[in-house]
Amino acid sequence: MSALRLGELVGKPYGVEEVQEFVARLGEPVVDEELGAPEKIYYMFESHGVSLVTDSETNCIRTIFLKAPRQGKPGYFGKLPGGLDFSMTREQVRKALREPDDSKSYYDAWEEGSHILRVEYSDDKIKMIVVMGG
Amino acid sequence: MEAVDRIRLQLLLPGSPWEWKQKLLDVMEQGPLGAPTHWGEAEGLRKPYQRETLVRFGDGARRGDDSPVPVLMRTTPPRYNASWSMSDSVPGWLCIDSRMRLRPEDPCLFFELAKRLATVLPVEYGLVDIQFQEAASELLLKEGNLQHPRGYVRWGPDTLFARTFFGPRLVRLMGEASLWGCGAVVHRLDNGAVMLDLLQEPWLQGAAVLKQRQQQVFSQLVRTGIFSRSEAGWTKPGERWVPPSGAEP
Repeated sequence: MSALRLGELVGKPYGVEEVQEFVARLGEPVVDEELGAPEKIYYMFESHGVSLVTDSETNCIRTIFLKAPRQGKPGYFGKLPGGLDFSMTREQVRKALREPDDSKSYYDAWEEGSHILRVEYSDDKIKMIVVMGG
Repeated sequence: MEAVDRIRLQLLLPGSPWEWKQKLLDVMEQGPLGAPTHWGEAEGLRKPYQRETLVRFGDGARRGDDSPVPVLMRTTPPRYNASWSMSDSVPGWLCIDSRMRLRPEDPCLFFELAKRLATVLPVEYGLVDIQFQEAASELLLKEGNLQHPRGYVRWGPDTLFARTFFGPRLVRLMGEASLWGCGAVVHRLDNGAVMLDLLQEPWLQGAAVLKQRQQQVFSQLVRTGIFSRSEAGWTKPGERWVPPSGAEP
């Protein structure tokens, strides 16, 4: 799957072919229906730096977390949205995408129509990329 | 002019906004913000907007404590997220939130949308909260919070916002003269609700001006006895507060 299509998974049921194609290479997830709010289900692929959050009612995807490798923990190894790379600085990210639509001290966010792309930083490097619906 | 960081609308109604879905969706589709582009069964879900699909989902949804909270979204400027209660509990609520890609011309449109919704829906109480970029937290009109519906029932409304709506029941409870004499910019809507702006075109005023004006006007209206109050750190109902009928505290 092209990383550019990752955002199109937002809103899709966990069981559909596109989602299953994405998660197939991530191994077996730890599934937690109690973590956080009860209206969410967490699918955590820790060894691949990926977590998916779905709506507990519909099991449709709300949010995709792609974590950078940090402190010995593995990160997401696939292609990142927008041609981003975990080694990029905030300035490089903005140059690669565009000026953010929303920004706080620790993140930039872009409205992409089918999803919101949020890049979170730590020490001016990408810590995590979040693809979310709202 | 200070740049606007976030605008939120909230209306409290005598039931779920879904009871007035045709009016609600008509205003959302044809109102000043432009039609929604997406909808979802819950926050965080997105599908291309189709009124028929949303109506089918909403009509088939449970109406109890565990009702879904659907969302309407517009992902192009002026961007917004709208959500509402689907349960039968009173008051029902409708919230519209915008915080990304706000252009200088957008705030006015949100205030206009709030007016249209408060005119076609049987509003009990409503507000438009506006937050400015870089404004100090003490200048937020209610510490960045909206009116909690359950708190409203138990204690009454908490304060005034950049724009505040008082439904006909509240207007009677407050005494209409108090509203007209409070020094704010007051309009009566076609359905009998009263729209109170702290100042003319509040979206053009800065955070400090609005905060100061809020305190001035509130000092007048607090005498109506409907607003919640604090006693020794505990929230208490206004002395003359009467919850809306059908509401469970």
